[in-house]
Amino acid sequence: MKKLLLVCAAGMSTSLLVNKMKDAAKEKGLELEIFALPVSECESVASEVDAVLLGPQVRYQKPQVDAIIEGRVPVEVIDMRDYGTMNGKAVLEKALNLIG
Amino acid sequence: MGFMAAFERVAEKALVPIATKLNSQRHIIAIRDAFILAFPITLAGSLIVLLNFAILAPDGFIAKILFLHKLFPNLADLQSVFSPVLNGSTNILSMFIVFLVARNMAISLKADELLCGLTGLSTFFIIYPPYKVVDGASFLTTQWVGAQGLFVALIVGLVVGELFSRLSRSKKLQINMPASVPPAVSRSFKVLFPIIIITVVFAIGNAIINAFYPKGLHEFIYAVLQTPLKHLGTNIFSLVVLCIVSNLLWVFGIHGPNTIAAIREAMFAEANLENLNYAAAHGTAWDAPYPVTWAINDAFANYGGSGMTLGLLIAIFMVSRRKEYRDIGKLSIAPGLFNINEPVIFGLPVVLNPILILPFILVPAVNVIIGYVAISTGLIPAIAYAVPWTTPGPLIAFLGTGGNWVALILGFVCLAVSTIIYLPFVIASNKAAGSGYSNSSESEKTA
Repeated sequence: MKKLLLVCAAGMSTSLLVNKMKDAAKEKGLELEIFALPVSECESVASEVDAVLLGPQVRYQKPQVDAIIEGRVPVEVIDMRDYGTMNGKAVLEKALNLIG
Repeated sequence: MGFMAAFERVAEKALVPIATKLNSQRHIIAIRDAFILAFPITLAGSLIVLLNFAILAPDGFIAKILFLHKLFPNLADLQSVFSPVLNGSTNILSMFIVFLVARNMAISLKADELLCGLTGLSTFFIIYPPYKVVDGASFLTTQWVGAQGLFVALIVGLVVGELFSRLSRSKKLQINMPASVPPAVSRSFKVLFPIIIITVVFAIGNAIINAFYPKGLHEFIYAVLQTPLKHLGTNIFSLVVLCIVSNLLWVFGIHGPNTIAAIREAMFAEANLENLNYAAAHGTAWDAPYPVTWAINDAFANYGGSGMTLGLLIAIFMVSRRKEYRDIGKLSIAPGLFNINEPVIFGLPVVLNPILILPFILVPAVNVIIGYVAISTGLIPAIAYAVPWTTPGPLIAFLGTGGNWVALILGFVCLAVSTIIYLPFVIASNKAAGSGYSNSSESEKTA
């Protein structure tokens, strides 16, 4: 099963989005594991995820996440607008494109 | 769009690189994450002190409401059961911090994190004031294991983290065991020389410092660095400036509190802990030694999250006719009650919004000043108890003061003030509907 990791400062607001994305995935009948963590804990699961999505408020920490992931899987910043409207469907679509 | 585009250029050109630097700088990350990891322990200590006086003391606010002392006359005796909790939490914060900073450094430099953290702790006590022997038993002063030793802990953690990680990378210093030796054993041999070198360097450094400054390194750092920085932090001007900087970063979509966390913690950690220890010793937050700490921001200027956006949401429900505002409002109110407001900030959006950024920065600053005036005039006690940042709005002020009802009311006053300031701006943004980037292609709503 593919694993999607969302990170933000404390893993709080991303966990809201995670729930919306899970709903969107269920609607599409997709088997996906989606979860949220504080960006500081990204390292602990780095080896098992298929993509990392950053909340726009921690987009400046992308270099660190890139350094942890070392190009193994895609690392992207979530669109501000999608993030703010908690548009789980749109974020899921973009994530699916990333992991192909 | 001209103004906004210019604004955005400023953000991307100037602020984002600074934030990126601050947050990708490994020393700053190590300090910030160390405080984040130690926070649950100080919080637990704080909550137990609070419960100790709220429930077990005869004049505690819960005890009074429930007449606990009429029902259980000896309740106050139980206080001594819980008072040692501080000895295992805030009173040894420096030990946690030195371990965590060294560990975090090792993580970012890809060295053995656990042994690096332990080496940091070991080093902290190599340079610690020596044992005193009294009546044949030896004693170590507790003065520097708590808040007062914080800066030494930070410095030792950073230096040991650097040294350990670099030295353990050197092939010449590694003792490699044959493959038949268990990995746990060879792991400790691999870093043996780096640890010996660090130990020796700090032992000699300690001897030199003591020769020139007999009171020792801890006393020196405290006098030269920690005390001035603490005094710099614990006044209303610094508080307002930090508050404005933190919210200004959010205006550009950058997590403000997170970005300035390392600086903020270094400035306020000792004052916070001294306030808590005072409260634990006196059973009250009245006359706590540091009336001005960052806790004022959390208690009076953070409802709904940075920018006090709970006031903005209320203003939206009161006057906004824009459908997308009300949609975002509905989506945001539940997380907003727990001070999570990314939906408002990015969804409304507040980010780069020429109308809303002014109140977003102004409202918290005004409320910080209200909180400050209330504390400094003796209307309410200091915010001495740490309360988790996800505690709903005015409850932070209530619990943070140890259950002061005036603080609770003042919390609602601050919320009203923020709503009133936001109102005209919400009306203005209604009139200017269509500005901002909430148009064209993204018109369909999923909220």
